[in-house]
Amino acid sequence: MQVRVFGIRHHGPGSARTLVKALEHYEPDCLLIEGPADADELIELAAMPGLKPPVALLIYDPKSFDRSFYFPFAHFSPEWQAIQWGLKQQVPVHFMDLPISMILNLPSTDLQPQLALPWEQEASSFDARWQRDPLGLIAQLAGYTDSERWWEAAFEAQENPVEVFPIILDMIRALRQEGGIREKQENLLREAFMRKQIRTAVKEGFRKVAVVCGAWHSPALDKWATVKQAADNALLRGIKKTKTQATWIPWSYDRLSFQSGYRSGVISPAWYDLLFSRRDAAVQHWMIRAARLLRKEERDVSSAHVIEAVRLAETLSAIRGLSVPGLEELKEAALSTFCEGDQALLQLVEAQLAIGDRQGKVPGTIPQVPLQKDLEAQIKKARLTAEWSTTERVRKELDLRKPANLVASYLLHRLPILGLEWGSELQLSGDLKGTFREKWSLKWNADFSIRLIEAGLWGNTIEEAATNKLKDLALKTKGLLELTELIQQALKASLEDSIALLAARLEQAAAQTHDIIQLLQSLPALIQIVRYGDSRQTDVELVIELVEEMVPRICIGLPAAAMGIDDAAAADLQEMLLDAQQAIGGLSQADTRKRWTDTIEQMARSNALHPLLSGTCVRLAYERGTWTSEA
Amino acid sequence: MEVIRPHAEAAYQQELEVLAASDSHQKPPNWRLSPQAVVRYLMGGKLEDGTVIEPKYYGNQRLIEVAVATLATDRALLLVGIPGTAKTWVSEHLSAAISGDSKLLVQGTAGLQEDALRYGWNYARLIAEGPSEAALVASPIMRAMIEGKMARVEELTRIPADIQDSLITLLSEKILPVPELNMEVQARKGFNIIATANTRDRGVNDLSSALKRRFNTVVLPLPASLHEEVKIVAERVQKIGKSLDLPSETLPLQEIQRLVTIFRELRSGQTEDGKMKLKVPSSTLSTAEAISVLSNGQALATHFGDGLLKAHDLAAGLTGAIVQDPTQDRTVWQEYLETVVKEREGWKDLYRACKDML
Repeated sequence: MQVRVFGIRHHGPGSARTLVKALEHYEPDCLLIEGPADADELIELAAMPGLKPPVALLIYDPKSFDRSFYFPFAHFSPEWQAIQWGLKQQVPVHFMDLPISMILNLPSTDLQPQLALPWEQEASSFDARWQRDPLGLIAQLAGYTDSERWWEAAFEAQENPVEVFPIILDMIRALRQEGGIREKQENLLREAFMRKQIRTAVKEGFRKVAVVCGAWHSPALDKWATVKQAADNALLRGIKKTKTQATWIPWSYDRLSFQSGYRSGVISPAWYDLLFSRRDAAVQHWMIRAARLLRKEERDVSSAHVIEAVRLAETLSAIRGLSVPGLEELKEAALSTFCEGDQALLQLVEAQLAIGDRQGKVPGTIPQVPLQKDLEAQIKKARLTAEWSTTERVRKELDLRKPANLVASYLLHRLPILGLEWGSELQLSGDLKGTFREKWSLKWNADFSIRLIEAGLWGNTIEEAATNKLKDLALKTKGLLELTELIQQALKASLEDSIALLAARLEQAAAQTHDIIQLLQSLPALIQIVRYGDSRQTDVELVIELVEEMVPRICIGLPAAAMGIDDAAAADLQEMLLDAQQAIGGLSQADTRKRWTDTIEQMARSNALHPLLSGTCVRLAYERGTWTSEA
Repeated sequence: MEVIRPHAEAAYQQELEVLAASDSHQKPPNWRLSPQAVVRYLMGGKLEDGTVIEPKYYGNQRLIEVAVATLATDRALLLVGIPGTAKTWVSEHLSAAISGDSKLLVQGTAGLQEDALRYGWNYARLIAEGPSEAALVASPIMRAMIEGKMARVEELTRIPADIQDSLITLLSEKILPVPELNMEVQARKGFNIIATANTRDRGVNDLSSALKRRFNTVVLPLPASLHEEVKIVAERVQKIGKSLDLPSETLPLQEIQRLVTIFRELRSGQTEDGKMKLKVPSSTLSTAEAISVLSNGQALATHFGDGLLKAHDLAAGLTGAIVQDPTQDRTVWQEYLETVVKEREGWKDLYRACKDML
């Protein structure tokens, strides 16, 4: 009976390749992988043909959506390769790490939900750099600036024989035993749990167990037999479990990158992708990609440039004693050949080049929230599928006279209500204004999956969920201006069912407001709603009534509000006056307009007002033609 | 005979020999040192047998590595930067280290003729005997091709465009045809061209894109930090002082720091602490300028003063370096004096000296 521990670096292509070689050599009959145990059932779904990495496990507490954890996998991640190998060989594969259901109940203060996975030795406030980065010392001895680069050069970039795993094990064991590293409590708990899983597998009668874990944990797991079961049980005693749910969601290279904030991230997923899948021609592919990106930026880069860049990168790495060019060598070679030394040009394409824009896919057959299904259907109807599947920022112009575009407009207005900020509306330029044109900037975000699940509480279709959420917001909002904004949103998103409630709330708020300024401020927006609603044939009767009721109130209180104020307040009031004047001018109700112009005239003749305001009113009356010059 | 400035290969002969002796890496054909040794020569360091190699270039080692790698792949190297960023210096030392000969140099000027790049004729012989190889006068580039050495072209962008273009075929096919004699010169292995180009001048002939493509470009930047620049200036001033027999054992570090600070602030358009924005003069206040102002000041102090470098020794050179355009730069300099120099602790002497100059 054997148990072998293989220590890897998360998302390391070299680790992945050597691991697969080692597994083929070892032929285990049971595979234990460092991953949350409560996601165990999702492992078999990993073999589905529609599930294409990069994907992530999403594990969350259904009672509190802010506590959600993501576990990304790229196809060059060692864990992913191990899972695929196990499923193909029909060897039982299990996740053996401390389940999220228990992690949620740890008293640890550095539990960061969202993307900061607690899988790395994080930068603590300890004195020595040693504590923060134990491998850093080894890296320094080897002549590297940090452990990441050293590890990459030693284990990920080059081909290693399978014997490298025992060497890694010995190295980390020496570090942990003699290095005086202060172990983190969370790590000790996780390792105790993982040892328990190993013992369980052994007890179940497996003859050759393979354990795949982060290199740092390997010595702790290797001594599963010597550490007493009772000690591990004692450590884990008393930790409560919270029910969690798990699913696969699509991920992206963008989110896999270190720059996005993911602490286990890699600096260049695109480079690692090439190192894994096209090792022999990795440099060439990289340079070709760089050339293509530059050509998109209208820069002439020829194939000859590419050849020279490849040669330079390889010579450079030879001078530096590397067997494979690293990212730095590639960048410097590209800078010197394609960009002629121009840093700014390289920076244009650097982010895209380094990170890559691969996005994962999750097949529709995976259990989903009904809301998600409806979203996908709506996207299809709106003909926005292409925009939904790209990670780049895209622009979309909509002509609301076309039915598909109208559906798109409603969708894009509804999603922010549910917390999915996919699109932001852009100002239309000059002569293209009109009520049937809209311009949007769209950016997909991997966050949307959890937001969707959260929004599922509100309803099973986008329309229903948005309506309910809006109604809920209406009840909670008190400010007149905020309510006005909500009703505007409701109109644009065509959520008719919510308008009645919103208008009622608006009326209430207006009645309770004694502040003329607030009423005056919200007037233009409300009038716009009336006009907008008319052009969309939405029922805005309630809002019309509200406006007709508000204007007289404003007229009564306005003169008083313009007396005895300082210059700054007068300037603000002047602006509001002008806006209101313009808005009221567009109303169709003649007597409301008359009421307003009468008030303006009255104010123009008054001597008691702030001079700025009486002057403004004179001008307004003059423009209307109702002012006659008097002595 | 005392020479003002010996060639790099003569001045650093000992270092080059030691490096060659202890060099265990592979050498490209006709190179005297391996690429790694060339980088070591330029960046400085300590060898295994204890010999200390002086640093020639203060800056990012990676840039030098790219330059050397370029030459090793027999692509031509183009060093670019504003005046005073050590382009010619690096070019000289690179060729000294690689070929042991930095004298194969073509100085680019606006009136350069094609024969300076290719070949000329010994007209007397030409007329007497007719065209023959003996009548050819090889240019430095041609000689470099024949001998398999590094050729240097300075100020590539000042050469007229049509003359520049004669380099294109040379660089891609490494052949120099001599149609008059119906023969050609093929470059031996080890031949390459190191060119320098200045990005700041007026009347610069931009390289055609075909020519640009024949080069790998390395941009030599200005020193990134105050500390770095002070180090460079101090070291060079000391060197120059020695060669001019200026007896100054004590390096006027304070003066150097002040000068470099002034240059950096004016160059970047804001004070070192970033709090105040400044106008930028039209002059290029490069590191080389700083070195020359200081050397000037030292000479003044030695011959016309008491040997110790003081503020008024610097003032003339400083003003001259900054005020290139008499109207614009003058205002800029005056403003700077009043708002920054006057207010700084312990800079009163410099303020007074510069004020007197204006």
